[in-house]
Amino acid sequence: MDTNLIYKIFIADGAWLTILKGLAVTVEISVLALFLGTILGAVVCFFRLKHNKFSRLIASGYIGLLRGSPVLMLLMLLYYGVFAESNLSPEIVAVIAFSMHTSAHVAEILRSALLATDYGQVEAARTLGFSKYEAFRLITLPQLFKIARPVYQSTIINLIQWTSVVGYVSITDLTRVIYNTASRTMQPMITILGGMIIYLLVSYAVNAIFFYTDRNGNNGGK
Amino acid sequence: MRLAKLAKLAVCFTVVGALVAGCGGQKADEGKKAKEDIKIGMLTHLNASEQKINEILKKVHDVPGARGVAPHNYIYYDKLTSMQMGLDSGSVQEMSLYDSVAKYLIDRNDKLTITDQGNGMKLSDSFSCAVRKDDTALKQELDKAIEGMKQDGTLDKLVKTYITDLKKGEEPPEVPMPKIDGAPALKIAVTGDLPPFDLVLANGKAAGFNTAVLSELGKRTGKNVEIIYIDSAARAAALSSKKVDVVFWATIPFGDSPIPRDVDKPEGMELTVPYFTDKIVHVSKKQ
Repeated sequence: MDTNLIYKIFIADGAWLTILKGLAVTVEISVLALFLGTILGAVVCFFRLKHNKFSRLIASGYIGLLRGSPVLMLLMLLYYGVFAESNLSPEIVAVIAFSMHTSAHVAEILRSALLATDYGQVEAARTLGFSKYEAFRLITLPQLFKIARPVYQSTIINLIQWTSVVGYVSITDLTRVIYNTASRTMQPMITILGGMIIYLLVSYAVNAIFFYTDRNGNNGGK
Repeated sequence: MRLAKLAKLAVCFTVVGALVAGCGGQKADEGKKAKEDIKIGMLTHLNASEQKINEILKKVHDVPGARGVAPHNYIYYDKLTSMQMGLDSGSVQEMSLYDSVAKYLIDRNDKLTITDQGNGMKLSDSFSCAVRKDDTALKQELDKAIEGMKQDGTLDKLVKTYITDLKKGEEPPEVPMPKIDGAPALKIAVTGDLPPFDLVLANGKAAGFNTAVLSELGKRTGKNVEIIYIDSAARAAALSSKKVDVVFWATIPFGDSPIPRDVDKPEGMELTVPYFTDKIVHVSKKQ
């Protein structure tokens, strides 16, 4: 492919800086939404597994609604509807929307991981004199992390890609920068391919983080 | 294990490479197709349904002298970028575009050419600002300012700078955005999707003729223009929820056009007087 063209599209006149800024926005929204979504997801999971019928119903309704609807529609509803009168910046609304969406997924991941752990072990620990909290922290939690890890990893990669719709609420993220560049240079094929490679690299970076932080040694390499 | 990883990567890139090469390669028997059989790409109208547009286009093509293109041969795209990719991959053979956009495109992509100057269709759209229906004061202010720009030649100057004088392959100039202290804000939506009218420069700043017109209008009405970058499909939602005050809108002019002017106008929206008119041409790949 023509290197001159690639230079013109991705580098010339500060284009690289604009692309980097777009990437920064994508990463920023993803990281914040992941952080808040994980905390919120744990809370939702807690209510989902409570014995109280009412709290179970609310939590499973929340999960069902958010997992069953496109995140773009949630985002549009929040920004142009619910928060239209408020002065919240679009970035904050996007973080709220993606946190909610992620939380539903995280809640389900945690629930399935919890159900996969052996409750007999907790009972055994309790007979040995562990408190309820200690049994959870020392017996259930380490296993929970191990089981939930791979699915959590793929949720993060999904989340990064979900954020590509924030252009609808006036945020210039990586996808928007790529589209703007494609229109400006009138070379959509090369530009979008370049954008794809950047997203791919980000996914690989996430995978790398998971690969090198795995203390249990079961990182897929076997 | 490392080798296996490398091999996987290599396969990935080969597939992507093959995809890219494949996209440029579909030229088969385009020339042989009868003119009536070609598919034409068109940018989606936000509010008029495809069926409605098709009905209208049928009327257009019934006009003597027009090319006989069956209405069902139109394929709609929501972005110029996707339409161009449709042309590259052979899903459509021609794109229906504004003359200025077509020229901008050809100046930057020498594989394309204008096939139909639009003389048969005699279609042209005019560009206006769209504001909320209850924003009558703003509409009047803008109308007055646009008339003023027409009279003192400012508009012609802007057309020259931002449309007709653009050099082949060069970046369009930046648009000066004067700041007036304490003035009220005028939020305008820029989509970056229709150069040279509406685009975002390499440095991330909004530019283009529409933006330049709005900047001048802001100056004349004593308002600070604030740019909101937004996906073109979300313009109407942004306008009605007051996230922006002005969006750019193209309409069919009054007169002997077979297409009603307000065919695509959403409810609750008011259009200013037009500030520019451009004819519609067709662009295709070079044979």
